[in-house]
This record gives sequence, C-alpha cells and structure tokens, in this order.
Amino acid sequence: MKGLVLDNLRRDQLTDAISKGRRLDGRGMSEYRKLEIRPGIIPKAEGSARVKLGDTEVMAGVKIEHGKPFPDTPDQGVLIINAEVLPLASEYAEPGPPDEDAIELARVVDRGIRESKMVDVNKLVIVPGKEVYLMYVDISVISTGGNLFDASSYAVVAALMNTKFKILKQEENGSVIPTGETSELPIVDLPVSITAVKIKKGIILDPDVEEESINDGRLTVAYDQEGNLCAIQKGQASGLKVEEIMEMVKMGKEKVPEIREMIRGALEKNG
Amino acid sequence: MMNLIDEGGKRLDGRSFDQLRPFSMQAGLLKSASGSAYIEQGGNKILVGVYGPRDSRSRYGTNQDKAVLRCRYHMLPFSTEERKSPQPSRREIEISKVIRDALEPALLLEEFPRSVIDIYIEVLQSDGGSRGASITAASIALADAGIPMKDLVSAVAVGKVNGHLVLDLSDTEDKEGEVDLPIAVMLNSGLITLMQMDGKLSEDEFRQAIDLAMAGAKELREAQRKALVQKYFKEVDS
Amino acid sequence: MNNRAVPGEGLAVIEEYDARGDVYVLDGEIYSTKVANIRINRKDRSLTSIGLKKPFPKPDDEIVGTIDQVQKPFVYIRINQLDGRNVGVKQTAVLYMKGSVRDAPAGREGDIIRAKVKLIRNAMLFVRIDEPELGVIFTSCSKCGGEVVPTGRSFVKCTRCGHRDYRKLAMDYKSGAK
Repeated sequence: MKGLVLDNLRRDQLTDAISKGRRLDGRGMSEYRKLEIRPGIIPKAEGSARVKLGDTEVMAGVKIEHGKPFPDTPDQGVLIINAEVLPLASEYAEPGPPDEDAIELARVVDRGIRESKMVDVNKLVIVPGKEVYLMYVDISVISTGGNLFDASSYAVVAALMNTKFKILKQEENGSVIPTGETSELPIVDLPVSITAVKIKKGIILDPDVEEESINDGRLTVAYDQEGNLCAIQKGQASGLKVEEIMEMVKMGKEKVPEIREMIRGALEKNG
Repeated sequence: MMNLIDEGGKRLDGRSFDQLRPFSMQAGLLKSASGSAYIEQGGNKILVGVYGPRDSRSRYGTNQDKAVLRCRYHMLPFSTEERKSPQPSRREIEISKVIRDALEPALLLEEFPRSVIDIYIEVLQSDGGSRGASITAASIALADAGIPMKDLVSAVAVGKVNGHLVLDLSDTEDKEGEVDLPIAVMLNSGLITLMQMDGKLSEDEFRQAIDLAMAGAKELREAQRKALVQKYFKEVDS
Repeated sequence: MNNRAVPGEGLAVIEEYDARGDVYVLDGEIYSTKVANIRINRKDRSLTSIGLKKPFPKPDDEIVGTIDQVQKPFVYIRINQLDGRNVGVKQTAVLYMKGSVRDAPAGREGDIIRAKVKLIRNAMLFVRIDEPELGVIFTSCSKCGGEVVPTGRSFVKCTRCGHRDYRKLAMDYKSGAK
C-alpha cells in the first residue's frame, strides 16, 4: 500500500530473487502466506470472520437490516460492502473517511461476491417491491501486510457463510417484526479471489507489503465454483501484456481449489 | 423497573455485587504499531494501537515542551446490535477526549518535546463499560510502546441497580440500572483520572461506590501487569 | 525483590537505594516507568531500571536511514533502523556537513546511510558519521542513477556513465544494510 518506499538495496534483492524464480521469504511463486480464517468471532454481528494472511489481518462483519429495495431491483435483497483501513493498521494509515484505496478495496471485493452470485438475493425479500433484507458487510483492516484484496475477500466470504439472521415478516399495519425463527443466508456459490503481481518479468501470487510496493502491475481475479472468471481488477499505473494476464489467470485458477478448501474447512471446523 | 437482581442476591449474569465480568488482556500483538494491546471484558472486544512518539505531520498541534497525546475511540460498524455508521459520533468524540484526559496524567510526556503520540482504540464488539476497558487496554499498549509512565491506569464502572451498588456494569445493567459511574485510577498515588456519572447517588453511596471501583481496579491492574510480564518475560515466568 | 518490573511497579524506597534510569519517585517510593530489567548495585547502593524498549534514540545510538533531502550543509535522513531494529516511528535525523571534502554532501537523495546520534536538541536529532563503520552503505550515480563501484575510500565511479563522485562510504559499503 501507499507509504512504503522500499530502499534501493532491498528492492534490488527482491527483484533479483524474483527474476531467479525465488522469493526472499522462501515462498514459491504461487505460494500463499499462512492463511488463518476464524469465523464467528463477533457474536453481536449476524456474521463475522477474521482472516490473517501473513502479516495482513482483516475483519469482516455482517449486519442484516431491512428496508426498501433499489428501484431497479425491486425483488432482490441488497448487498452493501464498505471498507475501512483502521489507523492502527500501519504507520501510514490515518483516521478519517475511507480514501480511494479503501473504496477501491470495498468495490473490488463487492464485485467478486456480487458477480459470482454467491448470495441468492432473490430469496432475501420480505415484501416484493417494498421490504427486503439489507446486508451490510463492513471490512476493517487491522494490519496492512500486503494483498488486502484477497484477505478482505476471504473475510467477507467467510462472514457471509457464517451469517445467521432473524427472519422478518410484515404485519398488516405495515410494521416489520421478527417471526422468531433464524436462518442462514441462501449461499449458492463460493467465489475465491486471487491476486497476482508482476515484478520485472516474474509473476507471483499473494504479494507481501514489500513485493506489492515495487510491483509492475497487479491483477485481482475472482473465480466462481465452476471455474469461471467473475470479476477482475487490474491495478497499478502500469501495463500488462496479454500473455502476462493469461499467465496470471492460469496460476490463479490452479490456486483456487486449495483456497476454497481452506475457507470451507475453517467454516466446518467452527460448526 | 426491570428486575436485575434475583432473590439470592445474584445479578442477571450470575455475578455477585463486587464481581468483575470475565476478562483477558494481551500485550503487543500488532506488528507495525509502537505498542498494542487487546482486551476482552464481558462482551467487550477492544484492540488498541499506539504510534509514537513520532514527528507530527504538521507543525500545528505540537508543544515545545512535551509530546502531544492524541486519542481516537472508534466503534466498528458491526460492533453493536444495530449497525453503527462508520463516521465518528458525538459520543465517540467525547469518549476519545475523556480517555485521553484519563491517560495523560500517567505519562512522562516531557521526554518527547514537539512529537505526538497517537492512541487508536478500535471497539470490535461493544458491551457495557467499553470506555473503562479501553483505558485499561490503552495503558498496556502505552507501556508496550516503551513510553515512560508514572503508573498504569486501571478503569472500571460502578453502578446502582435495583438499589444495590454493583461493580463492572453489563450492558443491560448500564441501560436499565439507576446509576453508571465509570472511574479510572492510578493506584500508586490514588489519583482518579476519569470520573463521569449518570444518575443519582447519596454522598454515602458515592463514597462506597468509589471503594468498590478501587477494589475492581486493583484486580484489573494485576491482570495488566501479567499481560506485560507475559509478553516481555515469558520465558522467565513460565 | 524482583529483577524485572512493569510501569508503576514499586521497587524500593529511596532510603535504601539511589534510583537511576527509568524510574519515578513518589512519596519516597521508587517506581519503574517502563517494562524493565532492574539492576541492583550493592556497592554504591544504586538501583537502575533499564527499560526494554526505546521509543526514541539517545546519543551514541546507531541509526540506519535513507537520505531524504540534501540541502547543504544539511543532509536530512529518514530513520529506518535504530540499533539494528526497524523503527515503527517516523523520525528524521539531521547530518551537518561542515567543510567536508570538496564541499560535497556525504551522500545523495536515496542513499542509505549509517550514523550515530550526536545530540538531541528541540526534538531534532543530529547525527555524525565520523567513524570508519559509519557512512553511506548503499548509493547510486548522482548523474544517471546507474550502479556505482567504490574507487578508493571516499569515491565511487558509475559503471554506466563513468561519472566519479564523492561519498563518505562506510567500511562495509554495500554489504552492511540488513
């Protein structure tokens, strides 16, 4: 992320290693850092998860409310994803409204979830055209250690899968009240986000904060359960060749099953 | 009035009047912060990061003679029953200020003129007494940052529910009870650095409430010490 | 008595010991101000609290930093390491270059330099590089940014454009940065 200016010496070591097919922390080119997913850590939230990916740490929480649907989708529940980099997350983060990086983060995660149709929003309707469920998903970045996109996406996916909410109904007088029953969200897909960066001529997955700060192009791709690409964001003011993009997609696609199993495993372990 | 005490003299969560909620504290878990701490107390889950002393980004707001202490108490949107808007509320702004005022007397800020120390408090999940738990945790984080302190600051709320003085109010006791009296104290000197009150107490009750808070603070202080020992002297202590 | 302490922990009374280091004295009682190791010297009856964490450099501490700006005769250095540990706090050090060789600065912007704290005044950190192991540990050509090799003690030559430049190099130039 912004703020980290790598010193020349370290930069040389990093790029040198990557051009030889190695990484300074000993990882393989498509190897992720240690990934830890802990769902359900905030009992007050309807759904929550904390994800640690190397030095990166992210929390996501889901709050379910009700309200009017968007006029163009009267028969669908609403998904709203926000992100904030907490000021304690790094030396360079500052308090205040989300900056462009945080807004990009929220929107990239949002598109991966939305376009994969992970949550069947058609089932999140209380009264068609009038009252629907609103899913507020908030991402709070606790530590910026590189690759916030993937860590945040996994946290949101795990939090949504972990969500239990009160079923609501509308009374004749128009008020919306709980029926007394709870439900899980109608989850129909499990998207996985994979971020690749190019450094000189080498391509690596899951960049850490140093690798990210010297990257020559970044590509975040979300893959749905069928293996389709469902959302893409190219980042960084630099160009990527078609072959490079295809290489990134190929490396990503090979990685997806492993990550998906980890997310599933973490949720099963937590009941 | 809601019944908050049963016939056996126990509170809703089964505690006696002078009993703290279950708590745990941890020092130094954020990599990039100068110091950090995490506390759970009842349903509170609070993370504190300290940055500094460091150069101020601007010349404004610095002091020739000592470091300037800044504090932000902030609740995550999913920390409450109803989603909280991420923008700081008036309540959060006031709490940020009283927490800063509660911690500053413990710090030897003169050692760092013209610099700033930032305390960032993130409430991951809120319950009654979050400002007290924030102060208790922030003290650990400041000590973890190596900022010299006269003493740790320990804080807890006392309240009155159904006519009884009780220690460490839960959310329900805070909302349904008659009095909420959060207190922060430096135990060596006995100086109270935070005191706020909502509700009515007689002078006698007030005096008793302070004693009750002091006893609670002592217990918390021991846990603060343990959290720091655990981080810095683990191998020796095990 | 314990040989370690946390802030506010009572250590002794002043009648017993002469209190030194990270201590605070209140009503005749000595308290530690930091998470610290406690040293007792029975000979001179002193008690010293040695804080385990330094929030701020002190004179003679070694720093490694990146040169941010050269404004003769001052060189501004952004501190990256303090006593071999990465620092989490943003802090600038100032190097004063008086009458240096050919009036050139010790290094150029972007160079990595090792220095020792000379004095602290008004929260400004002044550093010095007047020891063999102090000085520039990484640099590049000031003309074209190319790679340079040392030629002698205080000069570097660019491998690309051949430009020669003055630098106060550390003894272990280019291998010293951690």
